Amino acid sequence: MEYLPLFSVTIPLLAAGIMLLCCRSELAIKLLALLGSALSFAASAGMLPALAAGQILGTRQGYLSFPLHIYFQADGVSIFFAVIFSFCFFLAIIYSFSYMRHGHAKLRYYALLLVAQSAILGVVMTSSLVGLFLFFELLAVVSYLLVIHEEDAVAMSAGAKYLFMTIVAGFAIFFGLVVTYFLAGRLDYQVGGYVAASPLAGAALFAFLIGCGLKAGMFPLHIWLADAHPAAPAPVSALLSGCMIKTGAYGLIRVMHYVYTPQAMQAVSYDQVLLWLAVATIFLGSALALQQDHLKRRLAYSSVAQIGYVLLGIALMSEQALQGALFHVFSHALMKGTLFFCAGAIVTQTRKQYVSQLQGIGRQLPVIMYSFALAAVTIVGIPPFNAFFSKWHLAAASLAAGQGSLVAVLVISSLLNALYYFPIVVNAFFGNEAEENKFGTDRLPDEIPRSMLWSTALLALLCVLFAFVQPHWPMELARRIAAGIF
Amino acid sequence: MEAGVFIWQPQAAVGLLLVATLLVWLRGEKARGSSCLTLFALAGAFTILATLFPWVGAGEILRQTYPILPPFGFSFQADLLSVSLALLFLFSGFVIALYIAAYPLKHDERRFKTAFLFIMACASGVVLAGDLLSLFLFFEAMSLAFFLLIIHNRTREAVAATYKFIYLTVGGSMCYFIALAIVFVQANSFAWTAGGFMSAASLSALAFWGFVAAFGMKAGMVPLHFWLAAAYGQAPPPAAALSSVIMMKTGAYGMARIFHHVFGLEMLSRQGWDILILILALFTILYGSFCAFAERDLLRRLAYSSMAQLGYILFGLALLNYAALVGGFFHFLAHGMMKGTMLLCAGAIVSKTGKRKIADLAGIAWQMPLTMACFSLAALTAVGLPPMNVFVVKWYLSLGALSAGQPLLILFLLASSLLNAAYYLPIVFRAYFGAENRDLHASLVWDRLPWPMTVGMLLFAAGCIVFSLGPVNLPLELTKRIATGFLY
Repeated sequence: MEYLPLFSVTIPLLAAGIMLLCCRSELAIKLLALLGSALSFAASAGMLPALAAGQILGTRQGYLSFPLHIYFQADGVSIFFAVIFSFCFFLAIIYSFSYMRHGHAKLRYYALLLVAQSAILGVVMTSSLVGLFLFFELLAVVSYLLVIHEEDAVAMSAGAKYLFMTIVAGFAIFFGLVVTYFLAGRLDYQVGGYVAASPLAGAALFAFLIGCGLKAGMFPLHIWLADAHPAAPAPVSALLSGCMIKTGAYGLIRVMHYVYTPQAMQAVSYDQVLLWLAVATIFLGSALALQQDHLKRRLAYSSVAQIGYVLLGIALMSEQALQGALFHVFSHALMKGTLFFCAGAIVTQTRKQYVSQLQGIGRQLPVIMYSFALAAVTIVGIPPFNAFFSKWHLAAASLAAGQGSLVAVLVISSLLNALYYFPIVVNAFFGNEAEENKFGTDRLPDEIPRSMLWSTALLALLCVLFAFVQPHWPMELARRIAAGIF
Repeated sequence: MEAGVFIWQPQAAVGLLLVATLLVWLRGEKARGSSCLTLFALAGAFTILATLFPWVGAGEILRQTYPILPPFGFSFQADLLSVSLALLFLFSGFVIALYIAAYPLKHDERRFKTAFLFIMACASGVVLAGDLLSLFLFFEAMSLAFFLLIIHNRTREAVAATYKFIYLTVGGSMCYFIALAIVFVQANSFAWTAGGFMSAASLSALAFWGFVAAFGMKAGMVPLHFWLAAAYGQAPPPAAALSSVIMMKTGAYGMARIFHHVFGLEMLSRQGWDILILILALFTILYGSFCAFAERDLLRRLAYSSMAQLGYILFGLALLNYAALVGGFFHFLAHGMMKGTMLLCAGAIVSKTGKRKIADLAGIAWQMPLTMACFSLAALTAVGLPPMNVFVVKWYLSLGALSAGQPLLILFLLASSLLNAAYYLPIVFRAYFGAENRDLHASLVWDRLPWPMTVGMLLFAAGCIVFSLGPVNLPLELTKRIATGFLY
């Protein structure tokens, strides 16, 4: 058990290394990718009992010295994020089998996916901000390489924008790290935090806000997101939106609850600043999503809005709000994963990228569009779908905090979500096809490659499935983690 | 080894290298033999100095004075800093010599190799010298010999660059000479003394700035950096590597000695000289980074980048506290490995393809994959990504800035890192990716470089990352002990 955090990080890395060194046939590459990802997911899932029992897993063995050691360790928050992340990676790799059928540089693609999985698990599986930073930087480089996978001019410029902005984010986090280390002489996690209020601490907190906020796609640092997510291959977009931007939220949770004391944050009204940035992020993301005709851009801006919910939950600084935020990480990963998978399936099957071209597409790709509809309904927040629960808890926490206006924010945002998702669904099933698209009507659903179909459908089902299982496990785990922090 | 006991290692190491220089000269144009001789001499000197480690590692300072050059005497000193640096220089020199053994110099190999080995001998002498005058001898000989490498190609531009270099060097020597005279008149002593031996007097400021000018010129400090880009642009890339990895470091080493062992920190901070040096260091960092960003020739870009990186060392020395000193000293190693990799890669590219303009390097990674892999690793190191060496340097320099109560100085370092990213990473991107390169994937060929060149690049590239991978960072521990020895 103690070695599971280490294994979950190193297994995909090892698989990627073996793949680069000796795999030359496509089948071997795929098998190894699947195996590495599945084993890593299994290792993460194997830690769930520890989460339920409130244990902290890990050995005290230090690795690397640059100049601080990193330790692999998993507590509740780590395991919660790790299971979601590794599951999404696993499905994305399955999905890629069909998405990348005619793609180029497959060896590079699968190896990078594995390294990305390793890096993202490393972010959550290390026991201090140093490890977090190390894997943040690795993840930045690897996701850059994944974003530019197509290597066309659009992808290259989007990738460069993404890389330079994440490098700046890395510098901001570096500043925060050095100041924190200077003030406290340590960077590990401790519930309740240990860095007291001081002017330098305030500066470091805002450096972390810039760094983590940029990675999360928080307003006004979201500008890379709408370029990078659409430019990437669809499975990578799903991972970027579903998982990678959540690492920013994870970093903020660690900084706010495990490193800095509440007094340090109150001294600079940190939670208030974050709260208003979160509200701005929600509105801006939704408003911009409404204007996009490019489907993946619309989804990307929607991610901006959704990460705003998570940040809102973190900013409210209460148990219920954090529970809502954590649960929203889970629900958003599933639903945005589904939506990007659907977008990818639409592109590979019909070459259509724009919302205005999707008239009647539901008759060509019924399963895909049912999944899309399911995820769209979820994202709007209709019970009993996942996002309803997160919004419920966020709204309840806002009321408890005496911020009734935030409920209005949530409601308006849901309305905007409905405005930019439902027309796609309605048009897909009931819209009249334009003349030039008519020839496609005789396509049958089974023309879609199976791995693509199954992974999309499974992800869509998970958007609602847990509502019918008692107890509602993800919610229950989120509640326990939040209870452990407050 | 007790104090006063005769130590022979520094003299033997330098002497061995000088004798080997003579032999290389006498052997003439027999290329293979003289390369072997060079490598053996460097390895031998390395081994000889390594035997000093048990004593200097225990913190002993070993001195040996010869009564020549009256009335001053000629002395060697082996302490932890000088032995570690000499070993670093000899190792780097070995790698570069290996590279040169296979590098197509085209003509005058004998002159080039002799000058190279002579510079190696003098550079070792500079760090092992026990007083200002002995250091001056080696420093001058080293600096002047470098013109033979700059002028190697004998083009009009190379001659112009050589003149620029020689005038600045001679100017630096004049400054050093005046400073030396003032020190002799005031203190009647030249030997390194912990805490310094100079007292504040009317001309001591002139002496201080004379030394700073001489060493700053070598380290490429603003405003004495003019020779750098011209020399790097014209010299063969291995000579540029020699300059970046070893010769520029002797300038920074000299600064450390005059700060700590000639004038003393107390005097520095009382006179406010440390602030001035810090400002010059910041100018060097930013000016070098901006010039590198604007430069379109690969080697000239690397020259300006070296200048900026030497600014990091000066920054660490000028802050006068423990963490900053650790960062500064560790950058001797970090920058040596990083810039060594880059310059050797650049040399491989120039010699193999003749391409020097950065715009021409698109798609080069599919012709020279190993070279560009090393270059990419070094580029990521330069940006300061963990766990590579430069991250450690930035970490300690930032801690030093915080200890000095100047958190805003960190922003200068970060700005420089960002510029590093801006001028290195696009080279890497265009070498590998882009719509026009997609067709090259199929035509991937390996580098087809002679093996010594490949091994040289790989050794330096490994040096960028390997020390951080273990649970204990040995060079860092050593650096910490050196810094402790300097400050307490």
